[in-house]
Amino acid sequence: MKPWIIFGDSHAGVLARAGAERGDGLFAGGPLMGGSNFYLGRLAAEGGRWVAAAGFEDKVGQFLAAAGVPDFESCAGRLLISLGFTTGPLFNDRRFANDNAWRSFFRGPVAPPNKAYLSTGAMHRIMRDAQAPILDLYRVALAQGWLAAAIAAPPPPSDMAERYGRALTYELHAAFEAPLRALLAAEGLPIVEVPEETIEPGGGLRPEFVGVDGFHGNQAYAHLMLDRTLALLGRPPETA
Amino acid sequence: MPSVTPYSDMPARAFWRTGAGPRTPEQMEHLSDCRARLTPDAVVATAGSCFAQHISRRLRRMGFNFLDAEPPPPWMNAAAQRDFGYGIFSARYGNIYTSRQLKQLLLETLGTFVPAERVWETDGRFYDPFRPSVEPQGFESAAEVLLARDTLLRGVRRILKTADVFVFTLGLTECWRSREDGAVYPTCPGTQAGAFDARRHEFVNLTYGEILADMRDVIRLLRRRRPAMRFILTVSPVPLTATASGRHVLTATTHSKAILRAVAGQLTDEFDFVDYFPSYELITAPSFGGRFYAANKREVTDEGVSVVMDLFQREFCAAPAEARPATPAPHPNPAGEAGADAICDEMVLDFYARR
Repeated sequence: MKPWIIFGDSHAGVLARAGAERGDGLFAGGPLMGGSNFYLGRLAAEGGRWVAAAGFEDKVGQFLAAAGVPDFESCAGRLLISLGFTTGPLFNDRRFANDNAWRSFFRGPVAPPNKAYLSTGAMHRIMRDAQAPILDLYRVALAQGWLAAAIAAPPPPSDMAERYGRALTYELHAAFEAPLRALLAAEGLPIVEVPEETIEPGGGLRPEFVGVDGFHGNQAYAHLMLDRTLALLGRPPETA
Repeated sequence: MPSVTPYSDMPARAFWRTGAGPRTPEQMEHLSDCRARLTPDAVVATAGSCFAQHISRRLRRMGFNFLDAEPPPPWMNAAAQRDFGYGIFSARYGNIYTSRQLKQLLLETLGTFVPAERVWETDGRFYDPFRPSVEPQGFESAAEVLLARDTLLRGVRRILKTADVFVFTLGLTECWRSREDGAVYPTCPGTQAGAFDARRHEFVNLTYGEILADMRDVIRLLRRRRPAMRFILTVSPVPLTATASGRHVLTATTHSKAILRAVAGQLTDEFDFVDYFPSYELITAPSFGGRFYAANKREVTDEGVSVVMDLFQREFCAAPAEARPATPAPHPNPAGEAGADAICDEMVLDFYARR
């Protein structure tokens, strides 16, 4: 039996570890690199392929070995992709969060003294530019028929949201995801959504599902996501 | 036998045939009279018309201590930085074409001038009248315009506190002015944003005396806070796009450039801490037959910029410092501050380490 292959950012690491713990051979794969590297185009869509930037080729090899496949083409129809749903690397960047650094609209409409102001337009441009290489990766994978589903990432943790302003944090998170969700909806690719039971009323991940680093989901969360994936997709196709 | 005259012992550069006749740019030696070369540790601030941005870029590339008092936000890539006016000059003030604009910015920074017209609204977007191009689609609200301007003025205050050398490129004599409070705009209201209203806006072509007075005020204001500050003045070789003077654009251009060049020369003669960098002469010299102008005979080609900046490097800069990247790295993490991207990288490493 060929397994579902989990691929993507750091959240894929949590999921793939849970998949290995199941011991049923239904899931393989792993993360490629942290989400910020995808925003920076270190895996790029070029000529209908995914191409790693110089210095990042070994990460592709590492992933393929974990997935047990020789190349991305061999993942056809089995790739579960966790990518483009996390805003943490952007908004939790300490240079945004640091009190001595930026005060932008996502931290409230009034900038206190001694904070640089980041305009709404600039913030949206940053998000758009970060999302663009990821959308290109999706387009290639969709055209090649590699993808079985996308897997959403947990929302920003509550403590991070509190730091920036809860409503604005989740508003920005939604704004960041919107183009990707629109693309996937247009292409008819299913999304494994974060289970409602893991989300607290304020919009963050419930503490019992937050990993030790305070940012990723924990194993309980990951197992829930995999169960949800199987409920949505069933067992991996034998002939894929 | 020819008699000895004051010209007898003059150097080659004093004669057109040997100094400026048919030559390559590299053969143009000792074109300037720089009195103090830039050292890598000197904090250099830049401002001026669009041609001045080449100086910023070259200084950065050469590893000089270019002051970026309003650095770009984290995660903003190089293209977006350019579009939003980050890193082009020492703060995000956009092009400062006239002496009056520069003086006005300093007075505003010091709190002695507050323009009456602070926000323009065009098609539901909001613009800063004094730098309408720094926000490509305009700001979302009038409040944003003012908040962003506060940030700009804080950057200019940092220039006032820390710059050792101020490089300013004089671009234009013509400008548009508010009839209400005399505030000058970088562009005519209604061209990039805002709306032109002849009852509120008037054309002014600054005279030699006005520009000289403005620049003396600028120097005084800056040196009051930084008594040892030095100045490098240049004149943009880029002709006027259009003139509102009623003259032909060619004669208006020569009129404007002649005044700016004369002011720069006067200030250089007047103050021993002011140097003039002859970018204007290098681009417009008959020796080069206009070859440094693009097809539209207005914009300067990359080759022309390179020739000018090579001269700047040769004649104005001490030994170059270790090269620094021309633009900031997209997302360097400050030392000792692990952001979420570091946490994510750690997660990936951990996944493979424990397999």
